[in-house]
Amino acid sequence: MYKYRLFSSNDSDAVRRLIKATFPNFLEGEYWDWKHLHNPRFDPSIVAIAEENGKIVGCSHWLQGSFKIAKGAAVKSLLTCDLAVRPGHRNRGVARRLLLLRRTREMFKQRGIVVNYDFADPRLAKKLYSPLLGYTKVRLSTKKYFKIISWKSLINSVSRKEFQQNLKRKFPKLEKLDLTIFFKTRSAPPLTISLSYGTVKASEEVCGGDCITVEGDLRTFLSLVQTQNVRRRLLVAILERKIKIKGSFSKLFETYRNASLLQALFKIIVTRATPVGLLEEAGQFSIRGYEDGDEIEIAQLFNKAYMNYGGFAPRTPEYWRWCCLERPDVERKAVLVVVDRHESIAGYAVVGKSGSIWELCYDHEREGEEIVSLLLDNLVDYLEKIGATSIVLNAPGEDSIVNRACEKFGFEAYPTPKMFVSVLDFGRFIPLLAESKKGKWATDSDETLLVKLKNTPFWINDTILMKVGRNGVQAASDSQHATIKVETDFITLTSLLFGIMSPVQALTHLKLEVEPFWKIPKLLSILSYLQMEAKWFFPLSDFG
Amino acid sequence: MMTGMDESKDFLYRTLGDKDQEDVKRLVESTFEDFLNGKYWDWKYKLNPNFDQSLVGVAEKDGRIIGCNHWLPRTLKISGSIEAKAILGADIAVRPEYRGHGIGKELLLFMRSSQVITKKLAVISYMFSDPNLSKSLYEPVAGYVSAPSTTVSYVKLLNWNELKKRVNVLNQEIQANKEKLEKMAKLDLTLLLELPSAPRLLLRLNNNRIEVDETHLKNPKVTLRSDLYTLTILKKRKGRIRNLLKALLTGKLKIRGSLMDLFRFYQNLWLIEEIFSKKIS
Repeated sequence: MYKYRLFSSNDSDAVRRLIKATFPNFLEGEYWDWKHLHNPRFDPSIVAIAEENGKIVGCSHWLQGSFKIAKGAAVKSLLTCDLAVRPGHRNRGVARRLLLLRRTREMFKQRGIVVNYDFADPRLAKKLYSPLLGYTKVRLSTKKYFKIISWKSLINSVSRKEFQQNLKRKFPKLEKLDLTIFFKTRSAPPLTISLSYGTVKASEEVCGGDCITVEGDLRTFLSLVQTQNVRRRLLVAILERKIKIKGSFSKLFETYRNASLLQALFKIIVTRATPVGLLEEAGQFSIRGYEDGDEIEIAQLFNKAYMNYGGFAPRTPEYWRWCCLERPDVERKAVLVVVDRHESIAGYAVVGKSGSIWELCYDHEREGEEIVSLLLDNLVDYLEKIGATSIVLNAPGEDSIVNRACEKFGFEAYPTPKMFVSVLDFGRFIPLLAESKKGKWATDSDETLLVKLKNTPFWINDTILMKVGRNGVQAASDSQHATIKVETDFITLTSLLFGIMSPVQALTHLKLEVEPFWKIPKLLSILSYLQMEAKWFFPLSDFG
Repeated sequence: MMTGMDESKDFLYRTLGDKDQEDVKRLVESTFEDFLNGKYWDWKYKLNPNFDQSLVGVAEKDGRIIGCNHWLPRTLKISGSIEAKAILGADIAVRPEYRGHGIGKELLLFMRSSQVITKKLAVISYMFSDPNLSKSLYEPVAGYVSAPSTTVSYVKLLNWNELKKRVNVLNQEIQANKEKLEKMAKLDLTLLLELPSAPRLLLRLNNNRIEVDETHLKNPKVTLRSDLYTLTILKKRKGRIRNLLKALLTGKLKIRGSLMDLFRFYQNLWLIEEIFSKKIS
């Protein structure tokens, strides 16, 4: 049975030990002393403790302070930090109870707390903080810069006997390889890796002999290590001029031929023999398969990416699951997700066995070219493996990033299936259009517009009466007081409202009869105001 | 359940009933080849969170379902900030022997007398269609106009497997057809296709048969450089000469070869048309 209470000074040693065991970087507990105990903001009445049989098994810290939320606006805040539960007591709701212990309306009111913030692993945020405490992700413009000062740790690890033995066991083909690769990057010292008939040697010396010189940025090198199709990614990186490779033809050929082996080898070297987290720090994005729960972020990403477009069904997690995940020709492994180093989804794609890319979407505020290339690279790889004949993708015409990526991957623009639209109820459609233009039309007078429609089908009223003016569009009831009378036909009015025909075009083609004629400019102005401006886009998933 | 009767031809129009689902599924499957043996119908309609059985219209004759029209209610974004209740008009199918009797048109009109209109459940309807069919049927009957779409489709051919299957069938047809055999008797032509969005392909047209090669591409007699879309236009018999000239003049098609081989290629365009007559992707 767990007991939950507030921190007391006697708990310091036990909490220090618990924190040290949970976060190994807490420098033997000194860091906890500095961060909490000696912090002028430390308040024991907002540190929660969980104990079982008198032994502390969990703790949660809050630090009170001031937080700037905008230029000239600071509010009182709480920073949630260092939540720790002993391994044997996890998944029993201890963290949940700790977080809720002092989270009361009265406490926030008494202290005047307005904002509560936290820096958390995105997976934990998704699983615990967001559902329990309602946290949402903050839009940040913070950038992280990175430089490797020395390859010492990598060189030491590679030179270790057991490391060499492991490599030999794992890659028997190394016995036949004689290759020296010299890496030249701006954000790290030079690195030479020599593979000589089964032995691997790393050094910071500049290679002067017969070697392959690879020049580029660290992020591209590491993306090569992570990609599923290294040969293609290598060619793309060369074409994009992100890396340059020099060397004799025979050595270049040997490198290309052994690309997969070298990739696997470097992956081990980089992950095991470099400072902790190097791979994550330098590689901006990685790709993985869909995981349950991703649909919430995916639906948000889709709606955000196409927020300026019309013509598609907005996504809810349920709709997306049905539309993509449950589609009969989609395998789970064909739903690919690009995540950044905080596991936040930056793009995704869904492809069917037939080769239709049902959806491909990326965060337009991120490095779109990299995300789209990563997705297309992996999609092509998947489709080639399953023996699909072709690939089809829909994208907005203005999306230069997807357009460029498609060109790079050898796609060609092809006629798109045509979308057609028809109005079922003008009486409700016209006010909707006016609503979307609210505040964009300046007028000093109200007009009562009477539209008589010719050739109307049976489900459409042949008379539309509305008041258009300073308050937008409203239904009117008295046709006797109409100030503008218009006669047109059903198709012309539909084309005008959807922006397929301009009001002037309709007038010059004698599709509009206006009474009195001096109200023509006013009518043209009203029609232009009502006309839909948004461009429409539909992904293949909406079509099929 | 709503019903309507076309007395002159004894067609009954009504909404879908529980017992009709299998019949409708079979009808849709036989009309659209991509319906994956009914799996696709189940997913698209039965498992769809928005599916409403009363929005599927069927045409019946002597107790047998001969046509259907599906409507799917959806929310549709019409501008950056506005969403509207909409209907996606999907999968309209009529049995081949009953086509040309106006059943498609009656189904379209029948759906518009449904509760979607009377109960004001939707503001607009939309659909995806072949532009010619839209012009002849959907626009005059249901008032559809082309939507202001900026969508671009991109396509890439990964291999020529479908074409290879087609060539196998065609070779058998040639062997069984004297007229075709005679036409091919003196033919000796190798044609290299270079399309930016497809792997290179060599067609050998000799010895009364067609061979497809994706690896040995040397010494073609005629080289054709174009794109997939232009190729689709060229395979159409109607207006082929005009389309061919237009593609050559606009630079969308480039043909290289000796004058004699080019003449031979032109003479045997019927064979190219046969090869590309089915779907290649």
